Amino acid sequence: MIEYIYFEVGIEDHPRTQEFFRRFPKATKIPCNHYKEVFNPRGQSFRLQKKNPALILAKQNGKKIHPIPASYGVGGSQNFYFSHLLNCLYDCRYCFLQGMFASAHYVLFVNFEDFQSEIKQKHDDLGDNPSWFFSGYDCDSLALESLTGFAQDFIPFFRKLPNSWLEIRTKSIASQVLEKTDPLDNAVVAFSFTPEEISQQLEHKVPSVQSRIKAMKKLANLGWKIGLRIDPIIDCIDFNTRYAKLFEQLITALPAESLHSVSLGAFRMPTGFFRSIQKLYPKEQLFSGKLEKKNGNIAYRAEIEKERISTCQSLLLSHIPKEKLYLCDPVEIK
Amino acid sequence: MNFIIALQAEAKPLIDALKLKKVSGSLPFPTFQNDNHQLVVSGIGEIASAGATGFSLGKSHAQDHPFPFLNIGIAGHGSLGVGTLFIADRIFSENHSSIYYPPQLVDSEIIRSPLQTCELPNRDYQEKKGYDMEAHSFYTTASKCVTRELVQVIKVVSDNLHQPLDTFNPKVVSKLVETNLPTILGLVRSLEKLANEISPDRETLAFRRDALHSQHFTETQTHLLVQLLNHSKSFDIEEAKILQSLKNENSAKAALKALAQLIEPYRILS
Repeated sequence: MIEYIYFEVGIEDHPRTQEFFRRFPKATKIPCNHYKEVFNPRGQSFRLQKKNPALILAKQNGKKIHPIPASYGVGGSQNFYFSHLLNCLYDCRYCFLQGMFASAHYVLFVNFEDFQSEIKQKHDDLGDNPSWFFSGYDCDSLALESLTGFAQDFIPFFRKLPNSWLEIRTKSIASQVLEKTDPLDNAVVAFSFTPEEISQQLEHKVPSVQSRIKAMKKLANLGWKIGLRIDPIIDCIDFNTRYAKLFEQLITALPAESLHSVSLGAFRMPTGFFRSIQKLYPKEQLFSGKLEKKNGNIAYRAEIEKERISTCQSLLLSHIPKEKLYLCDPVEIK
Repeated sequence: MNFIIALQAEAKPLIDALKLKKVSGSLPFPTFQNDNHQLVVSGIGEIASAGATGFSLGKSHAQDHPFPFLNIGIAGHGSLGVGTLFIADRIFSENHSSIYYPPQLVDSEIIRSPLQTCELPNRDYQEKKGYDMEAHSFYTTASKCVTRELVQVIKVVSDNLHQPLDTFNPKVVSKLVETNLPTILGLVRSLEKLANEISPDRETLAFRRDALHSQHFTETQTHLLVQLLNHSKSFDIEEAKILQSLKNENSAKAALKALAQLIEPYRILS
C-alpha cells in the first residue's frame, strides 16, 4: 500500500501521474521540484525506509539508455540497460541497490514514452544488428507490475521492434501480465535464483524458489523464452549439493526449447557500496565471508570464486549445451 | 529522545509528563532531563534553534545510539484549525534554498502539512501550509548527525486566518500543547522504537567495550577490531572465547591477528 507519493511538480499533469493519484486517493501527496531532493540526500536510513517505502513520481530528463558492461550480455553484440524504476520490492541482502542509493523509496519515471523513443532511436541506428535491452538492473522488472504497468506498456512496444530484444529480469511470480498476452519472440523472461537455503537467509520478501519455478514453468509452457540467472553465486556450506539440487530442479522444470540462456556471476560489489551495506547490517553472515578487495570490488577470494564458478559451470554443462551458458565477469571499478 | 522547543510554556507539558529535571550548572540553554529524554529550550528564531540543536547533539551519545530529535511548538496555519496538531512533511524557509522532506515511517493519525520557517511572525495565511520560526534550522542541524527518519517536526496550530496572531493569547500556549500530549507521546514512543531497530543492543555495546579495553588499540586498529567483532557476532562465536583470545596476546597487533585466525574457520554462510 502506498501511503506517500512525492511527485515532481513538472509531471503533475502527466496521465500516468494522474492515474496514480486516482488509484491512491488516500495517499499523502507531496510536491517536490526534482526527485533528487527527496531521494538523494545522505543521512537517510535505507534499512528503516525499506519497512515502508514511499513512491516518488519523476521524469527522467537525462540519458535513458546506457551500455552494459562488455561481459554482461547473453549473446547479443549491442547491449543496453534502462531503468524506468529505481529500487525494488524485495530486500535481498546481497543487492547493490542498498549501497548505491541513499533512500529505499521507489522512484518511478513516468515518461515511458521518452524511454521508448530513445530505444526506437537506438533500434533504428543499429539497423540489422540485433540489440538487447535489459530492464532489471535497478529494480525487479515485474515485482511492482501492478503498480507501474511497465510490462503491459513495453511488451506491445517491443513487439514492433523485432530486431530489439527485451530482457525482463525478475524474482517475481506476478506474471499474469505475461500470461495474458501472446509470447514475445524477441523477449526473455529471466528468473534469478539462489538455492532455497540461501534464498531463505538472504532474499527477504522474495517468493520461494519452488513458487518461482512454478511461475517460470507456466510461462515456458505458454511459449515464453526463459533465462536463468545464477547471479550472485553465494559461497555456502554444502555448496555443491545445494547448487546441484537447484540446477536439477530448474532444468527439469523447463522444456529444453524454452531455455534461452543461463548466466553465472559471482558475488561482487563496488567497495563503497559494500561498506555502506555493511553498516546497515553489521552482523550479516554474508559480509563476514571469505571476501577480499580486488579491482575496486569486494568479492570472494580469487581461489574460492574460481572454484565456485567452475563447479557451477560443470554442474550446468551436464544439463545444457555450452552455447547457452554465459559468464558475467566483474567490472573493474577505477 | 531529544526535544528542541522554543518556549518554556511550550515545553512545560512535556517536562511535567516525562518528569524531567532541570540540569543545574552554567548551560547555554535551559535543559531538562531524565534517563531517556533531554529537552532543550532554545528561544525563538532560527539561530537560537540551530544553536540549541547543536548543543543537544553535543550532549547526546549519537555514535552509540541514534537518538531521535523532535522539534515541538506552536505555529500559524493557512487552513488548519487552532489546536490542530500536524507533522511537517516538507520544510522550507524564505531565507534558504534547501527543502527537507522528513521521511514518514511512523504509522500515525497526525495530519501532515508543509511548513514554512519565517524570519518574522507571519500574519499572512494565504496557503495550505504552516508557519513557524525554527523548524528549518532545527532540521538542517539535526539531520547532519541523525538519520532523517528520526528527525521530525510537529506543531500545534495557534493562529490562522480566522484567529490571527494579533488576537492570540500567549497564556494558552501550554494548554495547546497539553491537549495534544497523548498523541505527541505516542509519536515519541514510535520514534524511540524506530531508533532501537537500528541501534546496537546494550549487550553488544558492553561486549565491544570489554574487547576495546583488552589491549591498547590505535584508532585504525579499533576500526578493524569492531569489524572483526561484528564478524564474530554474525557467526555466534562465544564472547568469552573472543575476549580470551584478545587478552592472551602481548600486543594489540597480535590480538587482532589471533582474533582473525579464530574467526577464519567460521567464515562461510550456513
